[in-house]
Amino acid sequence: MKIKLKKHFKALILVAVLIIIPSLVSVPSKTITRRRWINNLPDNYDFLRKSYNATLGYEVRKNIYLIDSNTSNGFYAQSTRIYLNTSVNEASFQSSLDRINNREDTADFRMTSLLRMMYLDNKTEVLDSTFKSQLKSAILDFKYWFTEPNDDSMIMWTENHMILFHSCELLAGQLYPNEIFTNSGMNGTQHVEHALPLVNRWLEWRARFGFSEWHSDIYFNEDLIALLNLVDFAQDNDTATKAAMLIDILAFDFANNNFKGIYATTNGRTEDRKKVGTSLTNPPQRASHAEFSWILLGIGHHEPSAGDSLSAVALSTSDKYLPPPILEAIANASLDYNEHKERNGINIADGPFYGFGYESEDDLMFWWAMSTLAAGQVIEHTLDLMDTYDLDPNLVFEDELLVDVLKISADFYGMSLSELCTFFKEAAQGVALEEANTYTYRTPYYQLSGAQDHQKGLMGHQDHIWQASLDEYATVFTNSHGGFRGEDHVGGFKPRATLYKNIGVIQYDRLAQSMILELVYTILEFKDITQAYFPRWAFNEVIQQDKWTFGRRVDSYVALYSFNPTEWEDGIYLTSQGKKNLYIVELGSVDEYGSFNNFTMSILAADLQVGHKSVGYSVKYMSPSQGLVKVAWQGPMTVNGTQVDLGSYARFDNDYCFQDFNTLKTTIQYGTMTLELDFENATRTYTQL
Amino acid sequence: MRIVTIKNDIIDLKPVIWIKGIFMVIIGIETTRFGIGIGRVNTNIYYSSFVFALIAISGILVVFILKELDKDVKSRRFSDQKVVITFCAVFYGIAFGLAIYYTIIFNLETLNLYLLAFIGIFWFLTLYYGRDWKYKGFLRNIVISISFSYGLIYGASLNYTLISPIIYLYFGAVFLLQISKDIINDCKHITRNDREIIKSIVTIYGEEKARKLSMILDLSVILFLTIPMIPGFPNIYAQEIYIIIALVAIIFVGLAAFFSFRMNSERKYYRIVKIFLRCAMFASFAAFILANF
Repeated sequence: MKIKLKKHFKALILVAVLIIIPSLVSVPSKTITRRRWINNLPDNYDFLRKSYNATLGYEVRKNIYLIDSNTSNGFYAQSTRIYLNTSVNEASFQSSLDRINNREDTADFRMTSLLRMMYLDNKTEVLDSTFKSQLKSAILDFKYWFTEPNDDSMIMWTENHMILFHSCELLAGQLYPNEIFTNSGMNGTQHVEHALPLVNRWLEWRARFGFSEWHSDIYFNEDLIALLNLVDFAQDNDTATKAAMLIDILAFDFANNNFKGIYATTNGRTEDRKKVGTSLTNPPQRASHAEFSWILLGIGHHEPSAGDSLSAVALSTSDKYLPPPILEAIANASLDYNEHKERNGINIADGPFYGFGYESEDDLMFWWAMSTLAAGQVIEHTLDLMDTYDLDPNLVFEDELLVDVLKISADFYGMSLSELCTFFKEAAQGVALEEANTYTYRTPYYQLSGAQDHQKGLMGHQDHIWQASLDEYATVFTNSHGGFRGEDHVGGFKPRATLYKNIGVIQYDRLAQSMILELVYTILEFKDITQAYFPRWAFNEVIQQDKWTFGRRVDSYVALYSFNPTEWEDGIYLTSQGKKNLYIVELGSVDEYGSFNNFTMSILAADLQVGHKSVGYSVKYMSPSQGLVKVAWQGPMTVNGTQVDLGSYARFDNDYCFQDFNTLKTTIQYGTMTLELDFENATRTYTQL
Repeated sequence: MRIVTIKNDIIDLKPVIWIKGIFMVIIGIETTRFGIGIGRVNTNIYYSSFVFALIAISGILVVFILKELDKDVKSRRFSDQKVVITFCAVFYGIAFGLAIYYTIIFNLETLNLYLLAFIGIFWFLTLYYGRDWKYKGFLRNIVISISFSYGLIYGASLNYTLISPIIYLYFGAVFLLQISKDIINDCKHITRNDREIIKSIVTIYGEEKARKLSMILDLSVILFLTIPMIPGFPNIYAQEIYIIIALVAIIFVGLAAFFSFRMNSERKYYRIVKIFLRCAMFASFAAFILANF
């Protein structure tokens, strides 16, 4: 058969063209624009506050704090007055007593402080006897654990609340061993017997696994007063020693993560108010334990008006806790350079490896403390426990509606609740404070800190995944809007943050979800944006060119790349549309680049190749300072072909300490000083040769 | 008069088919979205809906041309078919161009372009060779059906290179359902004059054979809708919901097949069968959507 080629020619051409075209690829050109903002700012902010000589010794700082605290009318500061044998302001007790008597949420914060006052008053006898009996009634009528009968509105099971309640029960029981506690019907001795194992269980978990509320600039404050109360008043010596050792460990954490007066690090739990400032007169709030850090380590600064700090008051009124000098020495020695790796917490799936099941009340207390209430492995048992003790779903899940949504969804999909929560992993597991491998890199000019490759794509509650800091106010971080907590700048959908020294590659994306979950997100008004906090007011100079935003604070520089176009909001936030975005951050200084102009030119000239992937991006960035950085949504991060350690980390890994995870002995060394914290034998040994 | 003409033009362009096409693309993307980043899924939906709407329009123009070719020259809406062919090519070209741009920008697998190229080739071959073909009417039915049901495969191809079996089953079901509905529609609307002019399955083989073909297609649809009910069938999360709604669809298709088989020449039943098939189409869409809601 003869084929008539001419007749089929047009058809062949078209078919050929349609097959060839898909193989043709080209890259669109980029537009170049440049914008610049300048601020006249002082080199430091000491003029804003009364400054103190940083070389003052611990005892001197403690006394300064005591003097300022003694003038405060705040409730917590009344401990100082009792300690110093001055009359208390009884009026300042009222709102706290109401909260305690009404069993409202955070009543345990007040009860911890109240118990401290009662113990201190046993020495100084400042309190009026009638008033003291009123306080005693509040202590005897309080509900110390959810297993006790009667209603309350108190969250008891997060990490910080747990130690607050356990330590309160122990100390209240010790204080009134023969009195009957009206709510439980138990006497004090029975309360001690109940609380002591729970306190020690919590202490051991923290020693082995660190703090699941990692680097919390809010809740460490609560942990610290509970621990200091145990150090000062627990009759069991081992318990008191272990509590002191955990304070040492927290202080070591502060020394490793503080930078230019702020706790400039990633946080497992924080809030917008701690991270976002709108001007020099309305800056971000300091960490709640800032005064504690200042007294104990001499880092940061003291504000005379901050005399009502829970942990600082406890520290300054403690005669038993004596800080080992090595901690302050490390805080000073690491001011100009530190590379610090730390691991806190475990993954839910690894529970059996560490000896935890998912069903018993004991197991659940471990998981609940790390906000693991709804993950697939525990949800059914969580609901059973709630039924057993008639716990209010509004307290456990913050909103009863969430439980209803879970139950309805399970019926809709024909799944068990456990299967459903695994299916809804993004939200159910995302809120859990699982293994966090945190990395902090510090030079005299800047600090970069973040949680490496932590729960990428899952929805967090109050997490703050990374932060670049040039000074106390000139900080940069990003987030993807969302989170059940309702915070705008912390929490939300977590990125894959990968950091190496002065460089961070932060990819935002998440897997597509069940429409029911997407519907819940819509109802909760999650915005379809990613955003960078880049407060222009805190920088001397800000420049935008192409997809980069540069900031200068004195001699420190930051460059932030956003793959998606950004728009300024209030001169503070750089907002990008969409849930998927890539940020690259690089930090520099006058030492490395000479001038800011040279820094910006070097970064702009750097080769950067970004490829869209079905999830996340593939990134090749030729950093002017570190060389070729390669990373994607999956797989390792490499710098010049060498794989970067993204975890799992040791419990501590830096110039001063190396401790394997899940071990009970911490040895911190600096110069001729050594601090050995042995939780197994409850010994705390400081030596200096 | 002019308004009436424009209205007729719009009706001839069958906007319902474009909308159904967009709907199919979204179902294709949504069904295969698990394991894909939300960023990619969202952009896939925005861009590909527009691209496939243009493809559907070009498909309808192909149908329009085939239909015009059945008429005598005087009764044709456009005396010069090249104008319509040019429009068809422009719509397709824009769609294909956008798809290329989209594939480059978002670094997609090129499978979606090959699938669109396949459509282009099919359109071209239909116009090039189909104009003189005896079974032009059937070809029209196929082009209309592809113009929207193919959206399922196109949508799924944007998420994965390996297209899930569930997509082929969905595609098979809606593709055949639409052809069956069109055959019944042809049976319903055919007049004595049409029988002499329009070359459709009905005019070529007669009503009885057309009805039987429709019935066979209906039974195939039932098969395609039933297979995903196998416990643990991949890419279905709310299988119970799927089963409940797909059963409703199957009942409608079954009734349509039964009436197609039993109605003999009683034309009043065509309307009922068509309604059953429409209901089946609606229920199928609902089942596909809710299966992975």
